Amino acid sequence: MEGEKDDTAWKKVILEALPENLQIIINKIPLSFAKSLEEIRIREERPLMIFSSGRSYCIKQDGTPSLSPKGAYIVTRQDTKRMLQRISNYSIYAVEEELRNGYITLKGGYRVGVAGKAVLDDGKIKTLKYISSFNIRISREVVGSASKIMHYITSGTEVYHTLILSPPQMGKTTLIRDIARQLSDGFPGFTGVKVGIVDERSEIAGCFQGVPQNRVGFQTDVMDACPKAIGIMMMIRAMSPAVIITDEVGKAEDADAIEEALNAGIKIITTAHSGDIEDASRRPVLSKLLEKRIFQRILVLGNSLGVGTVEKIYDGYTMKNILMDPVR
Amino acid sequence: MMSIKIICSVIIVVCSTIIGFRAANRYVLRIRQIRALQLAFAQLESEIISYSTFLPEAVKKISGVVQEDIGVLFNEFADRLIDKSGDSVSEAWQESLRVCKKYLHINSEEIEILTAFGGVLGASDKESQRSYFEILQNQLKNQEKQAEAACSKYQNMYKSLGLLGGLTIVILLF
Repeated sequence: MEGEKDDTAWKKVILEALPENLQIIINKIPLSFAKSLEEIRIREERPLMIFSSGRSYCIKQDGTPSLSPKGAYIVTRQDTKRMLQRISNYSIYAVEEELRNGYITLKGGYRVGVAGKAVLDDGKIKTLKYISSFNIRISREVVGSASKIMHYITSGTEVYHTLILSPPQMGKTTLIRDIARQLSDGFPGFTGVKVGIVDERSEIAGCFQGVPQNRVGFQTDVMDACPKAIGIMMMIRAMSPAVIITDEVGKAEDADAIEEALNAGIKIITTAHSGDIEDASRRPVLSKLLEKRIFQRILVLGNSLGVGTVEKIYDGYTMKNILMDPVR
Repeated sequence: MMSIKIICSVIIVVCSTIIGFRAANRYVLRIRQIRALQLAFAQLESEIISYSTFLPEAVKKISGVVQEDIGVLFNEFADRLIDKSGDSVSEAWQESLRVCKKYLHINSEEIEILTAFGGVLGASDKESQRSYFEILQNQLKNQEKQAEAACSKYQNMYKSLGLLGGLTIVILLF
């Protein structure tokens, strides 16, 4: 893996989202934990916690992480009130839509998940009130994470329809983000093509006010926070992408939209939550796609060399593994 | 001697007339500022409801196009929000009102109305924001009427008082 986004870049944006007293505490967290920080969890009247290197820690007033809640800093109502003001930029009315989806995106593409009391209107969610839980997700872009597999999913000027299967938190979003970037910018032996990303959960491009905060390529268009099926159709109609990239296909209408794109001659690269091909063949929607032999390449991610290891690459027609050894 | 008396008299009358005019003018300024506030909040409402502009940017935008003194108030408010110094909207607004007091000719009733509005600005969905803006504009309209009544009652009074007061002093002295 080549460059990693400057590790302290997240600090500046994330800290600004926190009320001042919490900023001080988070700043004191030892570097060893801060480097692999994945989540900061703020829950009213409960200990301040972080999720780092796969484990949850409670944070004390002086910044030391601990596995036990004893002595941890307890988040107050004032903290959560101020936090909501900051992350909404003092404008609840402007983030209504995002609240309805359960998260607010900060500058830099970082997402803050929120939980509270749902206010319903005619059976549908109108907004959230009494927001008492926040989950600041610190996603890290890894530029170059797809370098070793790009020539498996392309052939000359052609891009293969690709499905990436991965268990949760195995780096599939990081991988397709870099795939998007490399297809768009081009890489040695491949001239860049127009890429369209349908980013239903704003995780791939991390758009802030419509502008991707992660590097996704200069020939890339992003449909942010848009349901996949609709987004794909919109892109087909007017954006003329050569490739459409989207995350976590699972619904019947997603599969239909994918077939529409295929009919329009557009290549599809997508992902699914699954451990391996056998597991995927048991899922209703995925199995249909696999049966129709729609995907030319199927990648399986795992952990053997660390997070983001590509364990196997199957040829979609022969269902044979063409990868010699796992790469990362 | 005579000429000195005349010069002094003129100075005294002119000064007291100016004082009278300034007292009268405060009523005019109060009306002007109330109207400027009405316009400013109408524009703010539009930014919020129609364009979903974030509050700090919306306030900053308006500070540039509204009448001077009110512009200073909104600019102060915008800077505090942009700064993210940790204040809530309400705190930032109150501080701005406090700091800009010397430029404001609105009275304590108006300040109270504005302070109360600071407590709800930006803190709810569009429908609610629209209602709060409507209430605010109605309150300001009432204040405008009151201010106009006060103005017509006292404006001329203070102007005359200034002139007559000055003449009285001159007569008593000399």
